[in-house]
Amino acid sequence: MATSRKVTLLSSDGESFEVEQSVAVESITIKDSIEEGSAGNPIPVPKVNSKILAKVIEYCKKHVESAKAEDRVDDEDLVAWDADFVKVDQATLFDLIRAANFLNIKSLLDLTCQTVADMIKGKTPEEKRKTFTIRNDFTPEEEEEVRRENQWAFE
Amino acid sequence: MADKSEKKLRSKEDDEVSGRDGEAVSPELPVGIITDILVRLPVKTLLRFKCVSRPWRSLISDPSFASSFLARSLARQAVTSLVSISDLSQPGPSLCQFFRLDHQTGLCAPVPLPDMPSNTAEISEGIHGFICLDDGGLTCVCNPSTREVAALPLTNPDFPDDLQGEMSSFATLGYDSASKQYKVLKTWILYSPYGGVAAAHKVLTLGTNSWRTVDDCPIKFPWDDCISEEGAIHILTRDSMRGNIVGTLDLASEKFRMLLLPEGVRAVKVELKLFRGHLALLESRRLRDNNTITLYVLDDYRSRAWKELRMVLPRSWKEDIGFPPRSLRISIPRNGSGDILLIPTIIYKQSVAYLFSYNVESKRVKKVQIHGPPFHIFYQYRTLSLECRPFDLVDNILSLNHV
Repeated sequence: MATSRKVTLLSSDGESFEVEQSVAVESITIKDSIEEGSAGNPIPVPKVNSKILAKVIEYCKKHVESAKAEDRVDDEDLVAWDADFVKVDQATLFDLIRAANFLNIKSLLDLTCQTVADMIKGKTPEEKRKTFTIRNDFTPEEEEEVRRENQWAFE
Repeated sequence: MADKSEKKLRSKEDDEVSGRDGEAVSPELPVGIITDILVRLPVKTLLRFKCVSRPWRSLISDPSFASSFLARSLARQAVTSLVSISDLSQPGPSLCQFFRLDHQTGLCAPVPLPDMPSNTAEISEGIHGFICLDDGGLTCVCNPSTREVAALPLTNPDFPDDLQGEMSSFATLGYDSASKQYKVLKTWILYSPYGGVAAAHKVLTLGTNSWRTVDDCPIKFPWDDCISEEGAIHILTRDSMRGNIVGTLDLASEKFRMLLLPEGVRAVKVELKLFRGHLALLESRRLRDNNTITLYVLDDYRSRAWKELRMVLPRSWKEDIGFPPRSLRISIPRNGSGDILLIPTIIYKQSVAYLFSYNVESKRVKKVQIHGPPFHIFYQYRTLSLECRPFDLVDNILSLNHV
């Protein structure tokens, strides 16, 4: 096996993280810029601060390691590990989503989006507005009309 | 009407937070990600989300959102079916109710549908979860996921005035993938007292008001079965000389073609099914004796090549039950993997009913008792028996108003 190359990632707040290239390329964004030869060294990762970048790297490391393991038992362990990984406060969860989106890490984006979906499923409209910081711009009549259109869903 | 620009699901530069109306869907996350989250939710939850804000209502009502949502639904393995239960033991109009039947628990949960036409409607399975109802005069399209029922404009067949006799009709909903439109085919069969049979066909594009007559259809006989697949509607019928034949309406050209069936099935009872996106003929007369279900799958429409697929259930599937049901309705999983569902066609009062789900991969049969609160609704009519019919359940958030 060839010696793995290491790359250095630079978070938006100036912290450096040295990681194996195999881990870094879990991010298609980083993979593309390495392949195009346009990645500097260290590779700057704007929009992602050190706290979140550290978590993202932790995620990618775990998934790259699991992919190498032969043992099937690791699948269930990985699912459990993922479930624990997303047990964070909402702000961090949203930060992770944005980072996964920017870095184009599909599995992390799937995991975090599913987590949010599960989280909001049972919420009332008011709670949902709070979660996403939405202003209710309906007039009372409009809102009533929307409810009436699909009355059964509110029962 | 909102501009139909493509939404990029994710992009490095995409910090766009606005929905269609220009107002923020959420300042927290880009609209592409919000979409990615929302498509994972059940229809009922999404309908409630519509009252969160105007941009959210726009987003959820958007046909392209419905499209992404549908793609996920279709990719999922079916673990529930839509079941229609009718009381046919009474003369005159019969009560028909819909339920979601869970394959694993056997629980039948009612799906109340408002504004249903009269109870003697002929129900046909459409496509993408929609079903079609026709009671001879009125035709309706229904989306059980959103519980919407829409009545279609009335129309009559173009039979010559001198042709008289008893008439029956049915309607099916199909999807024209070329124009991305839903179309309804309505067929009338006239039985002349002198023994002849005549047929007439019309098509309506959903969302429009007028029916178009369909050119000469090679099928002029009473229909046995019909099914919709993307781009076409297939009708199974028989004639005394050729046996079973299938007439296919191509929804793009709105023209009929005839399809010849493999020798082995021209003279036996078959049903039309969809298997992995292909038209298939289900032949199940050897189920009780030989535990065998045979599917003839049309792999390639052009070459008319049918592939025979035999499924043999373990012998034990009948042994557990006291009285094997006289007839069973068979539901084939549309993805080709997952469970084949066998549900009794008739459920008798005061006897326990079971469904059998046969898993194609594991080759195991599971027997589950069917239960659920609403059965008592039928018994007030001194019902002795109920007829069950399964339909493919596809969660579809597309509103019939936005089709």
